[in-house]
Amino acid sequence: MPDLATILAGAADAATLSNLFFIILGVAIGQVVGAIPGMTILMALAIAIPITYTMDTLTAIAFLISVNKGGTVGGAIPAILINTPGTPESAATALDGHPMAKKGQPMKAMRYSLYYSVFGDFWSDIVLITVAAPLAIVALKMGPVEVTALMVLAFTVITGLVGNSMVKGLIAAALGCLCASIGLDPGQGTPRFTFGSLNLYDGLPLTAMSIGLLAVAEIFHQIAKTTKATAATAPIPMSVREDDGRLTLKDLLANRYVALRATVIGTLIGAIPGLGSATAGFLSYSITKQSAKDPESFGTGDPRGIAASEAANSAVVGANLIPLLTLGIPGNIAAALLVSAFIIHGIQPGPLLFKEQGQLIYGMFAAMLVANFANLAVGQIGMRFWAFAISAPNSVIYPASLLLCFTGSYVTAGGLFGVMIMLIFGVAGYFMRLFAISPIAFIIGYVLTPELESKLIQSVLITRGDPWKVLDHPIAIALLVLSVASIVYLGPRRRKGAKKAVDQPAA
Amino acid sequence: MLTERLIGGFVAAFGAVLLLVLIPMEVSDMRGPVNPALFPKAAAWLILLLGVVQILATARTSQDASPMELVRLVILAALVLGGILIMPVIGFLPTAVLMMAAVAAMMFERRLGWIAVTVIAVPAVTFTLFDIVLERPLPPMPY
Repeated sequence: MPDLATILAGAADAATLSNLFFIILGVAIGQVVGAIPGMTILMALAIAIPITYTMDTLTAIAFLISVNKGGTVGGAIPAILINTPGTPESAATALDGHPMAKKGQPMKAMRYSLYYSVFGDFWSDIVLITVAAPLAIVALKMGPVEVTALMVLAFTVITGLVGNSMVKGLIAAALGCLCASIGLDPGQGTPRFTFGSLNLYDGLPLTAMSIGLLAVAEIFHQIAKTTKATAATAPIPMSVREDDGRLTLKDLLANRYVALRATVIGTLIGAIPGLGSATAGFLSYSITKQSAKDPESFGTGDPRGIAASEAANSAVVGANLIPLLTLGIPGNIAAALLVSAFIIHGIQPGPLLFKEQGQLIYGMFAAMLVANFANLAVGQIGMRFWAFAISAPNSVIYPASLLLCFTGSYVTAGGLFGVMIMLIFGVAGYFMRLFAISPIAFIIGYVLTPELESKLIQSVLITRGDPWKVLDHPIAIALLVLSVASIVYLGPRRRKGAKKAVDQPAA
Repeated sequence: MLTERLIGGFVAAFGAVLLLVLIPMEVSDMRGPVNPALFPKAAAWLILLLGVVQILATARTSQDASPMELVRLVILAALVLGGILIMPVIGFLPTAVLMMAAVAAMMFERRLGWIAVTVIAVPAVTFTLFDIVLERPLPPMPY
């Protein structure tokens, strides 16, 4: 556990002028992108990673986390104003936010969403800061056999929870595992699937691949589906008046228990790998509605609905870093993208971070707390302006995003090889989306495999190749049993929901 | 149902190609703590078996795309590929302008103001951000 001096030094690092600037910039970008329907936070994160290439590590991580935090606030704006969630996690906010806006109180609804969003996010960060270091100490006590079993469990849980079909989730994870084996193998350094190309000796560039799968695939989808009729759609008229937005402390405190419960739900869901903000928002909304004395008032502009959704979906942002920082397992795709940012700066996420990079981690924690206040301030000032981002034409947004992806891939992968990888995975991602094969399971499979392979090599050396020696590791056995149980439980459960569900990225 | 089975068939066939052709060709099979072919083979077997399971799938989770959407996807991918091929020859800015003009046309944009933003301002801002602000050199114009 880092000492107080390390913690304070980290906090001081986060408070430099340049870091504060990039935190505010990140929050503003996140809020704007979140406010544009069709642009997801994941796209913003994937596009933003190349921009962090020249920043120092803490600035880069703080900037990306700020984009993520800003996106959760921004996503609520179109959900409230035009009943079209800017991001999937804001879908539950629309249920009461939009009716409140229709009653002539759009600013009030947006302010409710801003305050409860920041509240949930802040307390989730506090939980992360409190539990991450002790959990990392426990994680460090696990040997390679236990970690291998833990990763197998992570694979099964994540593939079972993302997407609509566990079979397709496992197919995606297996494809990710296969792609991760491209390059030199970690045991003996022999090339695999390099097809004589020197570019492939280091494996596929994660950033270019993520940009392709998450951003370019979505851009291709949006551009390809455009027709003359949809292109000619008239902009949505909006009226955002300042005088309808008065919100008192009493108004906010009236829903304190709802917000608190939503924060707990969001934090718990965020800490479980594979579940996303959208699940947290809807679960919290549903529980709040069911436990209310007047459930019929929900859906008519009840602020409790906004509090339940926003506090829960924002609480996921901090908590989803718990598995990443303590176990090195990215709990969702935003965490997986942060892994690529860590790797760009030569850092391997996992429990050792607290030991080797304590100052950086506590700097990151401080930056997260600062980003919450920046979210509040930027949201207060900018919300009514971001509302106009909704009316920006797709004919500018998607070509501009495509060019940023193109240039970002060129810059991070050191040339046109990266752009080619981006294009290949952009097309692949389009078809994965079409066939409901989760790109999230793919990327998480890709990120976990190198670590799994190196731990497996260590496990084989420890057990001298005798698989029965695993019986000497009861924790590993328990984790493997849980893996089988998760397949048995989650497989049929996902099949039942498959008819109505559509593959939704977990942010 | 048919789409789901076709996906399963394609995935299973890919797994078989991996096991029979690609892994023997591209991965060394040698002794060691963990054979370098272990992970690729495990992934390939998993892909093959899951493909077979998918063939038996009954629940439809895929979406449909119209033939026109697929044609537009091919054009779009060809455009980006064209950009990759011509950028080393004519430089970043002309490539970006041409790409943006083509994509704006694909999105049926006819308003001159927005076309100017997409075709001129977006490449200029992108170039300024990466090449000048972030100092990551982009391919220069040859003249």
